[in-house]
Amino acid sequence: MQRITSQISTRVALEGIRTQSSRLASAQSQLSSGRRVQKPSDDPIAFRSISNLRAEVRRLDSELQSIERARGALNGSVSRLTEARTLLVSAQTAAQQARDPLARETHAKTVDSVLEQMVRLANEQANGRYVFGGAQPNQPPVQAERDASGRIIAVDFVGSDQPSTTPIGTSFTVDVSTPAKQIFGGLPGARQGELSIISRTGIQPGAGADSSRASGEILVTHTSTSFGGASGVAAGASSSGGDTILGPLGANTLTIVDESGTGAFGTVSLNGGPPVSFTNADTDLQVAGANGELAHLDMSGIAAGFNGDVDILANGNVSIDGGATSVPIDFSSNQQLVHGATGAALNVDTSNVTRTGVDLYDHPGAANLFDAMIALRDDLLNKRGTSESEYQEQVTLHLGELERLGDHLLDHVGEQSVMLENLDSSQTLAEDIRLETKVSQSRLEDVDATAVILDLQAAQSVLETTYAATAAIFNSSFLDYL
Amino acid sequence: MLHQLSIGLTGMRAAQIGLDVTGNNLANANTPGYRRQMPMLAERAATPWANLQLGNGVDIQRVRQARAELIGRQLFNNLSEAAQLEAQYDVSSQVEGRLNPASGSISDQFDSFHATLESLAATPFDSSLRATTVQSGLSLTRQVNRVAADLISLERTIDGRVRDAVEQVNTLAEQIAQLNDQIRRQQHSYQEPNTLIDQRNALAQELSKLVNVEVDEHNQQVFMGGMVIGTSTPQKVEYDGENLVIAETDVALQVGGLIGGLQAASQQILPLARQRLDDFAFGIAATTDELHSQGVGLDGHLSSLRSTRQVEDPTAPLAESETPFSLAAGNLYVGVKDLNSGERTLTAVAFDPETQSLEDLAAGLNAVGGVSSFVDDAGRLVVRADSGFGFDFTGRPSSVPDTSGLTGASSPTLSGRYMGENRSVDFEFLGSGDIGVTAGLQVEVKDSATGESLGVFDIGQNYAPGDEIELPDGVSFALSVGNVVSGETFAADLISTADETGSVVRLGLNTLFTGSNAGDLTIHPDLLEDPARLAASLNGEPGDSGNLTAMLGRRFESVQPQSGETIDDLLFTATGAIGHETRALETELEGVSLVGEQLFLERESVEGVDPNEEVVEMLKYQRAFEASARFVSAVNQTLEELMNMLR
Repeated sequence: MQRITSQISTRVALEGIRTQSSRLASAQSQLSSGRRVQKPSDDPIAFRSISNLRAEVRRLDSELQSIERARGALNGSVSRLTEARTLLVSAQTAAQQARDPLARETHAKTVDSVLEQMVRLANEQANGRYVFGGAQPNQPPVQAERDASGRIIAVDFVGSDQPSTTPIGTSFTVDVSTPAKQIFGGLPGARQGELSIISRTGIQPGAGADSSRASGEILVTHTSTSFGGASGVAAGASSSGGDTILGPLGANTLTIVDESGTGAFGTVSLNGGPPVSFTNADTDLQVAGANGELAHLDMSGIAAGFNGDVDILANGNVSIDGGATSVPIDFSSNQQLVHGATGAALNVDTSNVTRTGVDLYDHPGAANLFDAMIALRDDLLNKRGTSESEYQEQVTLHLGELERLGDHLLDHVGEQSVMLENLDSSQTLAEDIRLETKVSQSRLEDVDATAVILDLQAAQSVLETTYAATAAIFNSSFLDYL
Repeated sequence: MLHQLSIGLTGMRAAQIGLDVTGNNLANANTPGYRRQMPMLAERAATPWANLQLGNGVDIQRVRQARAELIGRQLFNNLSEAAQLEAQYDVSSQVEGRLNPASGSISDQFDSFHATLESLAATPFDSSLRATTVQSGLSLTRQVNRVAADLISLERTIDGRVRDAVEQVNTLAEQIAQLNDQIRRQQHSYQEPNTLIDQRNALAQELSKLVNVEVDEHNQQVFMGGMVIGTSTPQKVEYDGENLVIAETDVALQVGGLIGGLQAASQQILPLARQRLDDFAFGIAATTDELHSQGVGLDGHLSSLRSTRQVEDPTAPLAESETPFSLAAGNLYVGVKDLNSGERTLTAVAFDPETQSLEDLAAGLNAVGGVSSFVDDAGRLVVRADSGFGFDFTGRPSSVPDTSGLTGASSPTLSGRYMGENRSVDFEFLGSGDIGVTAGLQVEVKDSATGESLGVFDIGQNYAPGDEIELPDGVSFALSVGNVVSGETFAADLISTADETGSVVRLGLNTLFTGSNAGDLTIHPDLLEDPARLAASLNGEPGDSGNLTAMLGRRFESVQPQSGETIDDLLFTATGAIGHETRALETELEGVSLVGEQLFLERESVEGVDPNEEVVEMLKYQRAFEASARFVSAVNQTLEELMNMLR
């Protein structure tokens, strides 16, 4: 039987009090902090899980913030795209109402106003960033060039070609800022239509692939005229700058009738046009062809008694940058024209070029929104001197272009709306996961108040019992009975 | 009759001594180390009388101590073990506390830093968010530095505690030796040195809390860590920074107790904690800097860099300079942008750290057009863009490849960011003709090293000049208007890892951090000065956060291929693993303490004083005295009767 000494009693009593006090302190600490695991050693295995869960909650918080930011940016973008679409419709309406030539200037002003608003809209900012700045959100994405009267004559895309993306967690990224060039800069290559040319010179679309995306003008000029055979006719003094005929040898024909038999006088006609009388004193005789083409002739050396047709070789240059970069016409089925500034190529068929002039080319679906509106405005003002039929053809093209560009805007609205829906789904999912993670974290980390309070009460009871037992033991002594 | 008086006298005397011993036991009932004593009564030798053997009373042979020697030895070991574990637990708890404060812990700071990085990835051009991110990174590194400094400070504190404990050991050992001497003297005088033994054992118990102690009560010797403490002044012991040694002989003692625990903490717990923290610091620096160094800030290019990670000897091979960063022979690709024309060139600088020095690297970089480089007086590599140029280590391809092998008018351009493995490719024209015009005109792209074809692309009638043609892994090329000649080639380097050598990170060029361990890790001073330099972008555009996204993704990728550990794993190991160890020590300590408590109770049960028992003993001796006194009185009365008969 174990002997119970006074030190054993004391020790046991103290140990009991210490144990229960420790339980009480632990319960108090847990209840006051609300946490069961306050440091790794409280529950090392749980702590690892808690650390992971805590990091996951933070990650999800960041993800939710990213979703919120992305949603804000996309909402801003969608509302502006919707506004752009509305503006575009008003420009289309103005063009459709401009059948009456007298009202066209007014409608041109409407289109110009829409253009101004569209430029402003493309450069709008929200929360310190350009909505359509793409990967360069801190600088305006488009820049308008104006003429002396302040009218916009071109709009350049000066920002980034790349979208600004926001990572949503580690799973995917969202384009929160689509660059203006993608929105307003025309349709993607796959939707580019065939080259269309309103040809006044005989130029037709070529066979190669074009990199000139927009509409523009083809400038066809004359350089020299020479004549086949021994008729004695030569290019007149104004031929170089004044002739409008163009074509390889034989494409144009001069018919000479020497009525004098000495070459002193007679008639001459171009491509079956009305005969023009000449004398050998004419050194710069203008002759017009059946289609209005002109040639200037030096008739001073007509061979005596020459009667017949003379083949003409009329050379010229062609340019798609207003003459800045001109190349000789090679009268081939595919001649590649290059814009000197942009390097863009346009493939045309010059085999049937017969006269100088300015042709209008257009790649349906390739024009950017600003160019299309500028072209529409300018055609409403008839700045290119088109005929009514050409005007109608051009306006039809422009309206088709604006329709496609409007659809393109709607495509973006659709894409971004889908992305917003995805963000909503992602947000719901992230919130659900976050909640579950928080619950798991709480289960591991937080105190089970009921259990701890019960434990605290149990410890209190045991402590009181220990006090009572200790008091009872120390109060009773054998000496009391002596 | 007189003989009978003598018998009574022995009984009274024995009872008196019994009362003395009992009284002493009662008085020392609560004296630590006191062992209850018991008078050993023995019958006195009998005297023959006639055919009888008559007793002569009782003798107190000795006063015996109650001893539980086996339990006592176990208790000494237990005390030593408990003290050792308690010291380890104490240090481990302190380390745990420093690594995991209630708020602002390294984990909290790391999570906050990551959260700001994620926010910045959404708006990389936001200047205030950049500043916040940099400050958040600084808070993280400061917390890491602080904990590292705390751990060093803790080590110093432990060292001081060990030295204090060693002083106590020497004092106690000397006192024990003196008591041993007195015990021996008393034993030689045939006295019971019980009190001295109790005092000696109490000191030995104190000593056992500091070092390993064994007490041999038969030979009255005390062993301290294997060294005998006898009767003469013991040899001094001292702490040499690693071991407890005998001062004169330098012989190391077996350690236990507080000193053993502190020594284990100093040599195992703290170094392990520091190593883990260093591993985390290095891990985050190495993985983040590898990416950061290959990105660019808001400027889209770099203008000037100065290395921040020191090289001892700029003329010695770089690999000989101590560093935890890995180095390898290879190319360092430097992109240089002409800020006026926008044209960009990518130049490979070959560098072998095993044979080439920092000076060699500077010379190599200096040879790159548009860039100047040198090693300054402080031994730091300086790289500067020439006026009108900017440079980077993004590895983006040259905007215009080397066209020296082309005679045609068409010029190639490259764009995009390559994401595959570094390789060089050749572009060979299959046929002659005009780009965008000639039917059937093609170009084939091949890997320069293996000849593997990456594709044959139409550049003829169906190709719009200037349109980008996508190659695998993120790079595109385009050909301008003009003609090309069959069989002619041009080449390009497709680079995803601009620094094959590891020297950019090693030197701390364009890195997010400087330093490489928990003590010196901090945010690169260039970023503190100008947060716009935080390299969020891969393509140089301010809205691009490709590099940040890659950095964020690294958190979940393995840092060490062998172990598969991620940064999060390293972080947990640095801050949380100590919890396992603290808990294990706590559990072990609780177990040892419970055993100690049991041993104490068992020893106390044998050696301790039970007051009730002593009161009974007291009554026993009291009654015995009374009985003996009554006997003497009876004998006295008998003698008086006899005397009266004589009168």
